[in-house]
Amino acid sequence: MGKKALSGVKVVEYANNIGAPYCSKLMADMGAEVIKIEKPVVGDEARRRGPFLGDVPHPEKSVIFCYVNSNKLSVTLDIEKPEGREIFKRLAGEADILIKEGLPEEFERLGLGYRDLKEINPRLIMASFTPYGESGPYRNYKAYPLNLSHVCGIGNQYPLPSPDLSREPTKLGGNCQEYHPGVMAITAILAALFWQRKTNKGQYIEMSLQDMQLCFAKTENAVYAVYGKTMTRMSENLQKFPLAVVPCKDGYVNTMILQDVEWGRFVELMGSPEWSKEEWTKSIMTRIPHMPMVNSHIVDWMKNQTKAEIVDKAQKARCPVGPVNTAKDIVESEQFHSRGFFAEVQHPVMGKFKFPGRPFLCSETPCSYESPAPVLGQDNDMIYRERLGYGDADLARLKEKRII
Amino acid sequence: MNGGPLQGVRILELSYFLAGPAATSLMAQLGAEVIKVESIQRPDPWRMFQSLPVAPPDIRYGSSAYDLANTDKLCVGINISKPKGAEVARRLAAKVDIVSENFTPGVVDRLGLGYEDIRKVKPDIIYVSSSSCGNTGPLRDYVGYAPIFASMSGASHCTGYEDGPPSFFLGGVDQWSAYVATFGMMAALIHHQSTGEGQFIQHASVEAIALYFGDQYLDYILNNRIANRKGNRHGSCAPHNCYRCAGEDKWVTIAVMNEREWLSLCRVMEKPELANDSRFSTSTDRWTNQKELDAIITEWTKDKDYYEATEILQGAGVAAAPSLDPEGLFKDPHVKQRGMFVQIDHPATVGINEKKDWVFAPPWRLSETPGSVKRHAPILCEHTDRIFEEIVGMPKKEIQSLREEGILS
Repeated sequence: MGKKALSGVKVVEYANNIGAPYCSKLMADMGAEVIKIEKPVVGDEARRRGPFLGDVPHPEKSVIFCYVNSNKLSVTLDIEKPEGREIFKRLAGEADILIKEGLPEEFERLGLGYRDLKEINPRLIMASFTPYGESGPYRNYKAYPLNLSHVCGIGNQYPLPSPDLSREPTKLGGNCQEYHPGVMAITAILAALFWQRKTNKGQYIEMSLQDMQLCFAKTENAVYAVYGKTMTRMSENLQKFPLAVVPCKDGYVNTMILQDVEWGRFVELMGSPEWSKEEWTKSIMTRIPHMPMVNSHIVDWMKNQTKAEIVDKAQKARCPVGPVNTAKDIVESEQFHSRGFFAEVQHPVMGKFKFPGRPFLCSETPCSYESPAPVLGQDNDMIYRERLGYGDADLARLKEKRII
Repeated sequence: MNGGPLQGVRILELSYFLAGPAATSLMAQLGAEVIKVESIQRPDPWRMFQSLPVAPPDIRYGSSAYDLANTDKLCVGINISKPKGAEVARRLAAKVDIVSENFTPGVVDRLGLGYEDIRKVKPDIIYVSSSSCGNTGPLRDYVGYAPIFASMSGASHCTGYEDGPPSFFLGGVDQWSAYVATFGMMAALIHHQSTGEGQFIQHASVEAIALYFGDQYLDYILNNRIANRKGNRHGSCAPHNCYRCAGEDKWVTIAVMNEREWLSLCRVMEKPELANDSRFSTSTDRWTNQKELDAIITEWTKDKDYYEATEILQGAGVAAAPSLDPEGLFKDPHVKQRGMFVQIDHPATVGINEKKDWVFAPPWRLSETPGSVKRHAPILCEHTDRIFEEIVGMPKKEIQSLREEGILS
């Protein structure tokens, strides 16, 4: 293992699913030691969330769990039991960062609130994730990812462009919006770590999933406040350009011709048809009313060509056209492979496979994957015995009481 | 001084449009000093970008979109396309901790402002280079805009209706890519803090956006499955959708993930018979018959205000929330009380706001080092004198003569 950006940083995580665990996964991939505390027997909810390897539900075969927990250690612990709380305190007492989800009162009730933990560990950075934050009228509202996808202003703008508003808006594809808070949160946590090292002081960070998600669409979300007009998924502004996802022979391509110079190259690419020589084509303002016609010509021109043919030609002519890729296209993409986006990993239950997601290339501290995801409680022995000094008899008793 | 944790960190930004500037804007909110290089000859084109077809802004002051990515930054005017301009830019780079650039691959090296050039004047520099597909690989020269790179990462293919085409993406998707670069800078800064060592980070938009779809790639790798579009639907639970409410384009989201929530839903809709309906008895039944179920729920939601529906459902322990458009978000009582929209003074009128603009508060709340958004984006080349005098230590006369030569502006 080479140099890592976050080596020596100790993180304890008590969270489920994607948002908060993704944040600590990114830290683990950059070298932090992340101890993931899971409930005994059941573990992280993501372990029960499909899809699974081979489509058979199994706590060690969840695809999402596997992606979101690489390089972490897993211990089981029941913090509802007094002895479990004491162990939690000892782990938090040694950590630089505690990442947890749930409202503060849920932890205060157990004597594990920020004040309690700060007493033991004044340097602790505690990042507390909740759906709507810790103040405001919705603080106690229940929320699943679907609700948050729409209440943050993003879902309402899709799919794009919609011909009218008769159908429901949709969340974005896959689970992408659940990753937003993880990516947003890590920056603030590392900034707090930077400050902790200078001042020897910890702090509490309130992480509202809604606040963090809405900042992924600031440009669009500010539109009404600024212009007094709203924006819909019919996207009137986009209709000025030849701009669309266009069907072709074997899928779709994305065409986005914004500037005059691109327009010139693009009509030349289409063989400079007669209509492209007419007076109205000279400027964007006069082209606007003709866009439906222009777009129908584009559709005709593309329908008998493959994605690869169109994109290759267009890019050679420096026209902004790209393929609409599927997961398969990306997994097989030479671009992604040549840059090491996929790593080879070995999992004790799932076997050996390609693993996606190193975020960037670092010259001195590259990300690497020592393990794709931990098996539930796999590090109990190492942490409880070696780190905290429990003996065989203690461990047997904790196990019997179902604390670990 | 905004009280953020990155007090004392200085960043030089050589980037235009959204992906580069949005990345450093989070650092500015956390208290870093971000110096943006533009020039009279080549201002950031994002100053003119608008989300709606409205009258163009004055380029010196910039648009709302420019503000959103550049609040609290300083702007220095250097014509870096001239060798002498690049030379003074290097003198400034020697005084910073991080350089962030997002020109087309190869441009900064040609200008003499690449990683190797800056390392000569600042051996421990952290240098972040962002591009569309990366500086290497067969697609390194691809041209395009953020929505195209989003579709190349798989975002379009899986977004939209089951029976519809893949969705286009809004330009704001650049922010997804930007915030990945931000934590790259932060991690490098932590490493620098422990070891004194700088480094070169190469960031690519297609890869950054791809992070948000990693589970889908893994599903293909492990199960050979290509995830397709499925609107708001969940893989195994129902109801899970947006339901029409009273008013134009008003919808409430409802997600039911377990038996208890299902029974509560039947109860608050005053349709107890549904709980005994064989079409909906198990989670699998509800999922199989979700279209029928959606129609029944719509009957209940369609005459209600989306807040009324939300409150009734939340009162019964059912996860519900409105689907908010920009107007709904701005007027939402929770968002308002949280203070997420922040009005700042502005030297020009932005949209309908006379000498004001609206931006967003930092998305996190740090108890000891809160950070904030204090000031509008810089006026074009506003801080040239101050930066060269105070940071570079250049005599006034030299600044004056460089300005006359067209190197500084």
